Amino acid sequence: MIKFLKLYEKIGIFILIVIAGVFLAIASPNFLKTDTILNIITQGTYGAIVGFGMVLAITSGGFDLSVDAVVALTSVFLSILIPNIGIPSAIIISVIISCCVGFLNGVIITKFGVNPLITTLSMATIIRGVSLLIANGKQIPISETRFSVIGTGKLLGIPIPIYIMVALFIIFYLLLNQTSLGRHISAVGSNESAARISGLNVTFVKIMVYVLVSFTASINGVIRTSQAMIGIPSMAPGFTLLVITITILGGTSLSGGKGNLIGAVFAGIFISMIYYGLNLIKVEYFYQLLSVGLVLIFALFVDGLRKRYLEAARIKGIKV
Amino acid sequence: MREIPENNTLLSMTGITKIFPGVIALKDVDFETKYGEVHALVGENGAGKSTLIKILSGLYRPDSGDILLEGRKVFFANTHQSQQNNIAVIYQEFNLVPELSVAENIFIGREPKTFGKIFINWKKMNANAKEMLDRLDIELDCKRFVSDLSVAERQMVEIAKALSLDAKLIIMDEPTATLTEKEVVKLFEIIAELKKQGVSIIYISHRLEEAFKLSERITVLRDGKKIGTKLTTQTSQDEIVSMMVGKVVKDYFGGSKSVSAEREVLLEIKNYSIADHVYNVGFKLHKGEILGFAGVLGSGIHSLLRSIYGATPKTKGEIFFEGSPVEINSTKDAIKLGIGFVTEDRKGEGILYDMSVLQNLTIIVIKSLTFLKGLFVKAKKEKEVFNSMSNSLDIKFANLNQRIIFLSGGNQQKVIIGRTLLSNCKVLILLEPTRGIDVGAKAEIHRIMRELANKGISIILSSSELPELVNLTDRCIALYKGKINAEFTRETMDEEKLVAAQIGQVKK
Amino acid sequence: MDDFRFRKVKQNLGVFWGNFGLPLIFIIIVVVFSLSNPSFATRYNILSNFGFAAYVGIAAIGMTFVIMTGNFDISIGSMLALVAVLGSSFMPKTGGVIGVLATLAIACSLGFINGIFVTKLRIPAFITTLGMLFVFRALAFIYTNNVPVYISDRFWLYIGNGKLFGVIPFPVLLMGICYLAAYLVLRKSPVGRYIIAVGTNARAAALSGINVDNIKILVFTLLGLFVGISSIVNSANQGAANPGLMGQNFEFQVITAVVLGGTALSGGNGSLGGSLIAALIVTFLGNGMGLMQVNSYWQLVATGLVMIFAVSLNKLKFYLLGQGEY
Repeated sequence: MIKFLKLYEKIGIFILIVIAGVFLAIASPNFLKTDTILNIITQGTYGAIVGFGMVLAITSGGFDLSVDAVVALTSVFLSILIPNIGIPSAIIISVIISCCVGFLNGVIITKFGVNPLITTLSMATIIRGVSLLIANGKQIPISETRFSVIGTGKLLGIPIPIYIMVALFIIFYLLLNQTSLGRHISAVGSNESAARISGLNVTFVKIMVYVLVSFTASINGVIRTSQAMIGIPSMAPGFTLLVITITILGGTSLSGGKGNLIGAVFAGIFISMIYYGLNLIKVEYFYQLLSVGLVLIFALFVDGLRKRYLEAARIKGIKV
Repeated sequence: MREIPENNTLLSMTGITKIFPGVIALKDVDFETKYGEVHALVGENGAGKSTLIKILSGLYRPDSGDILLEGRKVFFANTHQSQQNNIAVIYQEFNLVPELSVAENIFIGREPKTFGKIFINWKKMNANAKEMLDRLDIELDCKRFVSDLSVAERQMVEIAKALSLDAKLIIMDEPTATLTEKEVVKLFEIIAELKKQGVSIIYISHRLEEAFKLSERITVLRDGKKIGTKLTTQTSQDEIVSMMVGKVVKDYFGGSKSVSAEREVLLEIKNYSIADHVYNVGFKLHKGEILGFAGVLGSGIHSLLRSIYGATPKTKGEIFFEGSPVEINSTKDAIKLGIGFVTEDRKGEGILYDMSVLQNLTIIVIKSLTFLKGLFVKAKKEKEVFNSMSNSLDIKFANLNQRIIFLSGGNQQKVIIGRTLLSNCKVLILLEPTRGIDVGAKAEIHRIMRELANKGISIILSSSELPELVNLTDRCIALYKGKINAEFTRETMDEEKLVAAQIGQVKK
Repeated sequence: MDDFRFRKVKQNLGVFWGNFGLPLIFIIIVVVFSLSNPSFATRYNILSNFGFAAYVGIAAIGMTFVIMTGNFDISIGSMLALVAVLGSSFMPKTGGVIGVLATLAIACSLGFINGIFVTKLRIPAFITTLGMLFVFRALAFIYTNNVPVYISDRFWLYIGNGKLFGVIPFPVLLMGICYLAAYLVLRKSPVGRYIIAVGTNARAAALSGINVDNIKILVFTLLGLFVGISSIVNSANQGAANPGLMGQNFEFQVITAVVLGGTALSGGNGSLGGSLIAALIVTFLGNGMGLMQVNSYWQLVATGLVMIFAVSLNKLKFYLLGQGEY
């Protein structure tokens, strides 16, 4: 049993993907086609990209509930800025503005000592309000067609978002494992007081984490806006839950210190498969909402059972 | 080797005072160390040692007083500034990050970089770490995760880290508490090596013989005041002990002891085991007896006693209460049977700090002080119960609704003992009941224990203060690494034997 | 001794804020809105505001208990909607009192589920309730197919819209009864003691023979109950149970009220009175801004700012009282 649990911890998400894959292959003759699979993976990148940021946040012992609002903020700024200053500058400025949101989150959390959940939850509301104010509650179409390349274009037959995800994965992987900032993020999440006493600038590390989460959220905003070609102040409702589900399902420990980036990629794809399956039976949007909630609770349920079992085993004196 | 200035003084602290709400932790304390000196700091629990250390490490700011380091006046607003001044502290609870490797922990925040200062240079970091460990003659794989290391190994990592920070002053807080003999020998070698390299060490330990073996000078603190500093070669253990204890009152431990006759067995533990902590322990507790438990950190005493109270699960074992086998799965079960428990961690799991003195005392029995089938509390009845208990324990407070946090440590402790007694327990388990409280309150708690025993309540007392065990208990069991190492009756017990037994030296 | 005097001044400030801060803010808000908008100060508007305050105020009781034990619940907005659509849909069959009681039982069981997840599976409360936020909302959508359920039951409607003596809104009385009951539980019953004990120091409570898990499950269940009452009041106010619109930002307003009321997010002793006044503040603020025709997007921004402000203010109070340090 313990072996199984350890195995599950490592490759549980693969098992889920295989099961879902077999199921879908039986249910739909179109599933095993390159286009379908690429499509599913592309859908999966949305959650995975922001998942990378969330992995950092949870690894540092924090949390960010403002990512969906940041996606919308980016979208609104893009739609306003692109006609005025061109595509590249618009993207850069929108991303920077979004990063500022993360910076604010970090400052409030570290300097005012406000609980990260409350801070980011409040920030989500504030940013939603600001997005709606800026867009005046309307959706703003983008006419610059070249912009759609980012979200819908292909290179060598593979959609651009997949390249973006791979690039971000490499960057975040190196960041988390090979740079001192990344290791300090782990340190802060693993034992904050030790990190502090060891002279780490915990404030700086945390602020950087929230900036990076907002950064990933804004990249997601760019991709989505490019696909929709429209700035939507109410974009991505419920997206935060999806990202958190992906992060936890991907094996990042809620107790901090241990991040799993590759798990986030596969968890993103798994969720995308579920969506595909739900689309097959043509159920409504609410069922997607329900499914994500249930998957999250399932992942937590398994994690909770695993912890209980290991604890019981430890008490019985079995080496774990 | 560093150049050493003529007067040879590395650190000098003068007139250090630190006040906490309700307690003066340090009062006008002077303290100094020389280069390459081991200066032992001793004192009973609550004497102010840890406060002094926390001031040096930048965790606390003194309310008044100066710190001079190499002749410069310094001020530490935080731990970082203390470190920058080459002061390192090795706490009992290590400040290592479990999810990082040994090398990473040593160089945390100062990792060598490569590739345009972006990536960590693992090769160099591991090599540097190895060099540090070699300098101290420690064999340890730098790539291992700290979460996999033993306590002694973690300590070595801490020392290597301090050295890599170019520490001139290393403060060691009870470094040998959880080490085996062999590991202690190794630690002493490392300390000798450090001394040779001109590093000063402030050495805090309960074990006087260690202080005498290692140090040049010994400073004694008591109740937040400095009692004196002696050259180790010109003093004796007896003198230091009397300085620590203060005026030795003959009747300090509260009068005559009860005669240990063969009485009925109230509680019996058989084959009790707790994974990684306790192995096949068994003992009997008689009616009206005070049974002592001696052991250093890691002996498993606390795990054992907590588990008997149902606060943590056991791996296996049987409990007999008044002759019949019982299952204790929760603290509620234990309380129902008549077992009471007073924790060693008063702040962490004893007092309910947001609640009043009254509410703190009555929490266990509040359900029985009600009307309308347990719906509402009888306020008058509650006050009566409170008054009679607070009178009999002589608890001092301003008013019933005063928050418990504003009471002195001794009175807080009495409230917690009173809370337990209200549940009409027949067995009272006390862990370190006099830790961190002043001498007067200590004597009172000793008196209370004796009275309770005379009334027929059986007491299990775990204490790190050996005089307490020797003078109060009828029998004493020494635990070492989760096993019973020795058992003494009142006739065969003395402090020396207990000291030896609790560090594993007596083999039956 | 300057330091000592500073400490004293600090403490007095803290005590003053603790006792009079909230009522003061409330009075200022009422005065400012009354002066700037004549339609605010009418007897009718003020009285109905007290009625509306029951929506946030009643749920705030349960949230106060939950936050006192160091958790919080962000699923209550969706819970509110789910309870309303379930209850109002079977109302025509059961009718009146039984229907209301059944609705409250459903509400309790939703809270109970949250409690079980948090305690028995040891999943942090905010993640559990974040998941439930979506599950409850989705279930509300699915159950109704996103069509509002209109409410015709007179008893149900009276709970939200009735007037005592033709003047005082019934929700005001209901809120009063709820607060009185909660006060008795918290301050006069053993269970209340246990709740405070678990909140202030769960480990000490466990050593005192209190079953900490059961207490936590209890407070989540109680929160469910109070959300159920709020749900009935709110749906009756609107005449319909709308699966999509009901309870938007509700968790936010309620948590803000509790925190503004002086209960620390880290748990410990809480203040029911504080929650009540803060619920009034939140409601009056919303109504006042509405009457002044403040853009609803600005209101969204304001909601978030008030929350952060409330938490910071609380931190400040504890700092002034010197309780953070020790």
